[in-house]
Amino acid sequence: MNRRLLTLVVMVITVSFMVGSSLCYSAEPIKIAGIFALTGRAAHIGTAQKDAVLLAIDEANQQGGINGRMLEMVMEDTESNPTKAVMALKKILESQDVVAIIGPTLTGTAMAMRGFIEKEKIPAFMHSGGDVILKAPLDKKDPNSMPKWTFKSPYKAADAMGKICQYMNKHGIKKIGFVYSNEGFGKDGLRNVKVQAPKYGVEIVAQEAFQPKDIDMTAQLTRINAKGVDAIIAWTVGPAMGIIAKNIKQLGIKAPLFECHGAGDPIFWKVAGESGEGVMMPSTKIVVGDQLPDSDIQKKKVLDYVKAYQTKFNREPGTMVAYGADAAFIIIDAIKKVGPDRAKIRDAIENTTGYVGISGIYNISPQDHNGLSMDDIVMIKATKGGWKLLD
Amino acid sequence: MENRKGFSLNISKGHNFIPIERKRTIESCLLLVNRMLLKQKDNLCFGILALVIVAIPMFVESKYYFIVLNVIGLNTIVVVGLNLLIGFAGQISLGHAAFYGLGSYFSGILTVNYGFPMWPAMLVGMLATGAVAYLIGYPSLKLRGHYLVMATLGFGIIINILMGELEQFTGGHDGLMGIPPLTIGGLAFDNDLKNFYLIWSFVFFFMLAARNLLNSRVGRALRAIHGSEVAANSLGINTADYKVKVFVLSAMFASVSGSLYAHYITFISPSSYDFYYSIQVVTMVIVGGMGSLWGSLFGAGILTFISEALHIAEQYHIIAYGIFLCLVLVFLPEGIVVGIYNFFLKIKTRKAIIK
Repeated sequence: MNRRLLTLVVMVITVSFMVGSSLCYSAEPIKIAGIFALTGRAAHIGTAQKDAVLLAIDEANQQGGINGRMLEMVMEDTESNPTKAVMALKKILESQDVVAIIGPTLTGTAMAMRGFIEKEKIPAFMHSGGDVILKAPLDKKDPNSMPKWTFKSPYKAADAMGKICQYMNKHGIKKIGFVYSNEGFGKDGLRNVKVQAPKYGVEIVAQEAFQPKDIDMTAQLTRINAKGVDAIIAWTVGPAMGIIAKNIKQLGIKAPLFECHGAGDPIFWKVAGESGEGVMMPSTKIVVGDQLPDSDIQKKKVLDYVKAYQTKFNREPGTMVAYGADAAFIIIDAIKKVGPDRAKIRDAIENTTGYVGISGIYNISPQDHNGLSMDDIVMIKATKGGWKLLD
Repeated sequence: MENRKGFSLNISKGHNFIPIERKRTIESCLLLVNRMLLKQKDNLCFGILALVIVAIPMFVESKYYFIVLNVIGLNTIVVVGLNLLIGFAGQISLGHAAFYGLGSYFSGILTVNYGFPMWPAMLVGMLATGAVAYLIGYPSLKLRGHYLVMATLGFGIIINILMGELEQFTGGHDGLMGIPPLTIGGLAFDNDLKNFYLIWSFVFFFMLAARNLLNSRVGRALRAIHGSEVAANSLGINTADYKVKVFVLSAMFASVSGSLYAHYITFISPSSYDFYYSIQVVTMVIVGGMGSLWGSLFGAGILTFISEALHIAEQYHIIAYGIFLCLVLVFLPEGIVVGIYNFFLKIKTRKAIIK
């Protein structure tokens, strides 16, 4: 009798396991590819964006996934190298059934992947700073061959520069010096400042370049200071951000320093130390969420996300985290609306209007595969190891 | 003593599942393969390589494996050329990324900006790169010692900066896009499989050319230089002249590979041709085995493959890759192919001595 009961219990357990597991397996996860620069020169940005995307996917899964199906991110590393990025893309497309791509981090890798993404017809939400991935036609001879499947989540670099010039205009800064790192990002900044500054009545009286790995910029800054500038803009990411801030303090230059839209990150304080005090920069709202006015419709979303980020990773998010999170949220929303179908997801992303994200309000259209405007950017000031929102 | 002997005998009886005769055959087979790979007269190896190239697409379907194989092929061409320089002329170049890049940019700029036909553009790139290499090699190879390393190191960095600065031609740091795929007649090499055949035909041809070169009078002179430069000089070999020639040749190899890369990926930007790439190809030469033609193929193959396979370790793959390189350099300092050959040779000699 006892033995029979035992057999029965074992059988019931076995059957329930089988039913349970088959139920789980019947809903296969929906896969999204995440291709980031996890190693190489942009590793600190790529890793932050990877975490941001993971967090967004976790949140969606905790709310029950999409129609009972969980989301899963398949991750690959571009090593900050274009060839490796294309290899990573092909690896994912061949081995996994993914519905969309998030990333890559750098403009060079994004440009290399773009042609293959358009050929494969898979929607890709990229994080690259350069606007060229949306502006350059796919075929040089045909100016109308614009990318159809490529989107980008960070706001346009031109708008970030515009925001600085607008702020200068408001605060009576007329003459500026521009110092930039002599590589893609810095030169892009130079092109943008030449267009944006005249719009706001700001005059560039000095421009100086340095090499990205230089360890001292006092020569360039002295020359700029000699022209009697009201402010200095430094366009670079990495250790140079801190070196410039330190050099300015050492030289006793009184003109305020503005840095690029990638500076609003905890790494800035690591490289600049105390000299970082008072440096101003454009940023996403993620670093100053608690200072936003209550009327700001992004405030709740930003604060919720920052809280979740801090609990999960136990560190402060930087400005770049917002881009990864928004790309993930918009894609997840699109999948919720139209299901896991590449072409439908693409159309859904393209029709995203008035989406309240963390970087700003996205109004994506066939003409604008980015959808952010200058109003989504805020000016912040580095104060006491944190950030202060400027008006 | 007696006891210990008996004990060890028991162990070997208990655990040796492969009969000694068969073990010997396996060893001698491996030795034969190694000897085949090391000898310069190796028609059989080329036959096998040709067969493998033809047969691989029957077993491989994934585009990903093809792109890995294609990158291996592109690297092999560069490494074969570089191995001629390092393994035979005894000179190191740290500027091969620049020659690789020059090939890419000549092909890219001439076809995209000026509407040049593709094959002549590739040829122009090859000749121009050769000319540039001559200009660098001629003065620096006349000097004794490693002056070429310095010259190529600087040259590589200069070219990399120029790629970013000459925006009106190169597209600057945003890169040059829309490079057309190569065509022969009506056949366009526009997918991974077609490019596989194209690139590996080039690999086959270039390896054959290198083999023939090494078996010729020039090859013998080069090996003499590698053995002892002074002795070679005293035998009437114009060592400086030969070194310049082999340097120019190896630059041309890299240039052709670069052109193939540009037409395959259809997008080029300066970050593909940085100093790191130069180091990478030198490492491939060393890991494969300096002065070993087949070692070049193995070096390029193993390192490209390992760096991809280690991606399962996520962000730690770079560390794993470094450990792998250290292990190879510590335990097989002559390179994988030569090292394994020497290892078997050692075992064989030891056995002969024991007998």
